[in-house]
Amino acid sequence: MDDDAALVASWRKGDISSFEALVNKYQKRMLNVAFRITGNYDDACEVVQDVFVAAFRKIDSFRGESRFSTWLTSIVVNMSRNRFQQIQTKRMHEPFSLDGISADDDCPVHEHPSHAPSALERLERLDLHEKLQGCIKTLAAEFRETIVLRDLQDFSYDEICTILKIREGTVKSRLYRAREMVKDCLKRAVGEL
Amino acid sequence: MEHTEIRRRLSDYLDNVVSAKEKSEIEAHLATCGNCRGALADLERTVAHLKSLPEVEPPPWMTAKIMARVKGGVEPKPALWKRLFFPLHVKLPLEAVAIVFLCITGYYLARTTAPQVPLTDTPAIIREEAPQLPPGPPPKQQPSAPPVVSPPPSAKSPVAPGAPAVAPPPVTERGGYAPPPPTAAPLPSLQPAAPSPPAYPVPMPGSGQAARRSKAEAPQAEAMRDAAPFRESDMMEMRKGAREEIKAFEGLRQPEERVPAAVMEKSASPAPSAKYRQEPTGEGREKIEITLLVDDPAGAVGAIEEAVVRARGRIVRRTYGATAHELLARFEARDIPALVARLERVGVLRKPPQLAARDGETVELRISW
Repeated sequence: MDDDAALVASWRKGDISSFEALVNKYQKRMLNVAFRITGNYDDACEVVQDVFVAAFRKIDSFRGESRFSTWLTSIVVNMSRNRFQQIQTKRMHEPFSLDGISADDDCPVHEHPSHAPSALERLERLDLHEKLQGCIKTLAAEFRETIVLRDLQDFSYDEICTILKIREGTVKSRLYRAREMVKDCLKRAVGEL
Repeated sequence: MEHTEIRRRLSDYLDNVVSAKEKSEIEAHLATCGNCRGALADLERTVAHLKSLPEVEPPPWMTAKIMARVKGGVEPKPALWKRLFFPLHVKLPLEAVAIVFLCITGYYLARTTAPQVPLTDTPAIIREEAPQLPPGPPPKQQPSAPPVVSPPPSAKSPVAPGAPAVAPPPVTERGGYAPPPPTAAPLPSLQPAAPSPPAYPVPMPGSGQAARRSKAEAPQAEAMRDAAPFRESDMMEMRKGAREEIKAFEGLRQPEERVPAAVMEKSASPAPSAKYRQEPTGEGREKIEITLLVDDPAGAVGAIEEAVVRARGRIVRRTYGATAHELLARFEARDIPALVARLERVGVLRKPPQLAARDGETVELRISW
């Protein structure tokens, strides 16, 4: 059962506070999906805004056959993909940067204060995370989307099939290849895993 | 399963999305293959690193901004040029295809809907044609008596007196007018000609018996003229053409022959057998009838016409039947004796004509044989 069905129903009736509740509930998750796909925090923020506004206008297209989060995530993935392609096209016309992955691509990461790591550990982890994000950005769109949805956002295989509109066998194949490529990229970046 | 297939299924095995059978096979293989165990370990650490990536926090203004956009309904529309051309890889090809399609469609429409310019030549120059006389009734073919019908005013053809001696023109219509040969006289003009002096002298009004008779018949003549204005115009035009014919035959003018006085005298009492008749003319002309006895009426046609032409007469109408023939011609009074002399060479005159007109006046002569 979709826990969001009641909010959606209320929203359909014109209760805009229900919509606001859904925004508060899902904006972080949607932002992270957009961020990991586009690789840029500002672009991800704009994508999220556009997603919720589009969802508000197209709520009638949500038939309730899937979960609201799945439907919303499919919108985020599509918009993030388009935005990433725009960024890539824009970068093709910009002068080549010798710095590789620029630091501006990543936003200041807010880590969970689960424990108090040392400064070296934070630096090493930060370095690993940046390199890992860099490896994700090197993936093709279809592999990037799959690995973000599965390994970063913990969507199930069925949900991934619904979001990306592909078969389960395709999800498994893409995920295997994406993980292999990230592993190889990470080994080259940091050495041993 | 094969070794490569095992390696390919390690990702699924890691997520526990394999069947029980596949799982047992994979585990059995891992127990014996160190490389696959190492690959699985690498895969597990990669996934662990991916899952360790921290989440980003949304900015605090995110919800407010979203709600503002939703409530306000005002969307920050991108610039027009962005909407037209971005994304480039999508819109530019579509717009190029649309432009090409529009050009082809416009060219096709222009080709198919353009007014067809006729390639015909300019209108031909309108040529003036010779006026044609109104057709009369078909010639009567009665062998008994020749048609006794007064010729219409229009049936006055300018026949050149000096026309070459050719076969008599065929009887085509009641008027009996046959156009002269091309070499004899030009075609009459279509333009209304100014009243030109007639080819033959018109009797002066009030002169002689013909004028006095014309006064009596003036009303009738006037009615005829009003009823047939077209015929008078044609007559005027033919007179103009006849003038040209007269000039062409100036050289053929025969010296006037002295006519015996007996011929010119009026007959006080005509013989009973003579077929002589003087009819008052409505136009002021004296009408004379001459009857000629010949052995071969058909063969004498050419000789009689030649006699008329050589006597400077103008054939007005020909009426040739099976056995009897009639020829209507106009002469100047002074040419009548010459005609009589010629006709006497062709046949026997029943009665010499009694001429009342004076020199210079036109006489209408009906010759029958």
